[in-house]
Amino acid sequence: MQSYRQAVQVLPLNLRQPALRLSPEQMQRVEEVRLRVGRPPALVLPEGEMCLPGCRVVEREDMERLVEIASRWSVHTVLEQLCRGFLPLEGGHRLGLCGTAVMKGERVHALRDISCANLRVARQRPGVGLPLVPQLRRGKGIYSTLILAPPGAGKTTLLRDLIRVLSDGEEGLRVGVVDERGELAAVCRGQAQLDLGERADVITDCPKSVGIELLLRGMSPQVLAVDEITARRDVCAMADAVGCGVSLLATAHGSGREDLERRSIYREMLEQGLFQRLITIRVCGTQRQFGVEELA
Amino acid sequence: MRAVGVFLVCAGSLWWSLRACGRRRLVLELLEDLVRAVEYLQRELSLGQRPLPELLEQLSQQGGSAARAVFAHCREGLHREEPFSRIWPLALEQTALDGRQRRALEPLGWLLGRYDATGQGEALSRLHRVLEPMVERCRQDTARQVRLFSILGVTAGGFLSLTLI
Repeated sequence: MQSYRQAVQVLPLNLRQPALRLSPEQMQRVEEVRLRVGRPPALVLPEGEMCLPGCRVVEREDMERLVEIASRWSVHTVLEQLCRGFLPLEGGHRLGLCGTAVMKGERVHALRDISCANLRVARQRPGVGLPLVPQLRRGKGIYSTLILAPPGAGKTTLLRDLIRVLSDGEEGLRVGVVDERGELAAVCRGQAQLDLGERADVITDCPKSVGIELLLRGMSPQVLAVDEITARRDVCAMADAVGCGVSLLATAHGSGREDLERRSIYREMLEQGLFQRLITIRVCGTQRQFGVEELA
Repeated sequence: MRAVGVFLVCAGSLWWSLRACGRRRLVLELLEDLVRAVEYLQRELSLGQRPLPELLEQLSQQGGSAARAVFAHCREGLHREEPFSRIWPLALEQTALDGRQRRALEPLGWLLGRYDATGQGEALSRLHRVLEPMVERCRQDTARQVRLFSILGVTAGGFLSLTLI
């Protein structure tokens, strides 16, 4: 409930007040708050979307206020994140934004006329990764492990908890975390908002390939954790890390093992034998089911 | 009785001329502080990534004494989550600046925090170029008017005293 209350502080006052009038039970279950210009705000619950009661439709001005509050009236400080489509917020929450992209060459230079926003409420699920750890252990270290699941299934949540579990305790491992999009540790003004354990070293807002290199050079990690592998250069950097004797913990989009064969970048990872374990997540109603399998 | 009357008239004239001069000096001081604030904002935008509320906090505490109230007003407005574009003109309205000076400064309201650092820096440079000659003009006007008001005050006081005597 506290997490939800903190997340909705970013909403303009006229939307925040109805959002704070929800019952504690409802607050507990809200995963996302979705705003679309011309539509009433919607809450995403495990069972689906529902309108936020007592709210008028969202107007363009609401979106402007939302970005102002989220950026602390300073778009220049969050422009890079804004161009990537979301802003990390205090508490590890995340504000996804859609609008008209202003392009400069191949790159998104700015987003204007924001039309949709998705406020994702960060929830740590301490212990969610604990039952999986014995299957990932290899002596004192771990097998390189890939977490594969479709968007919204909880890959990042699981990865975060695995990092925490592995880096905590007397025999905890040094885990280097490349938090390119600020979702794992949710560092806000220099302080991690989410618990990654005692021995996690986090580098934020840095491309994965560069971050991996920096961590290898400076922090001598035993495990390297990265979220959402999307580019070939990430795979190259991970291959270098494996060559240095470091285990990997990573996530990728996909619904099953067959997706690994389908995408060329994932196929490359398989061919190179970067990972020895695969965790898949199945969403069954409001529950998540985890499966661990060996990768040849 | 006459002596008291003469004293009061002289004191009144002196007060009037001092007040007029003080007001002119206040406007000049405020404009000079605002120019310094623009320079500070330019530096901060080119160097760091500090958000607007922090910059306003800094200016409201360590800026020039004449402009502190303006920035404090803005900082409080942001605490109330009002848009800066609305707060800034209101803050300017509460100052002794004239319409032309306010109009020159108003763009800052829809400029700060709304563009990338480079865009804001360029716009602040333009504003600086507009403000500098304005301050210089105000400085000359103030010096001239201070002399004028002082002479007028003394003359009026003397004339009224003579009439009374």
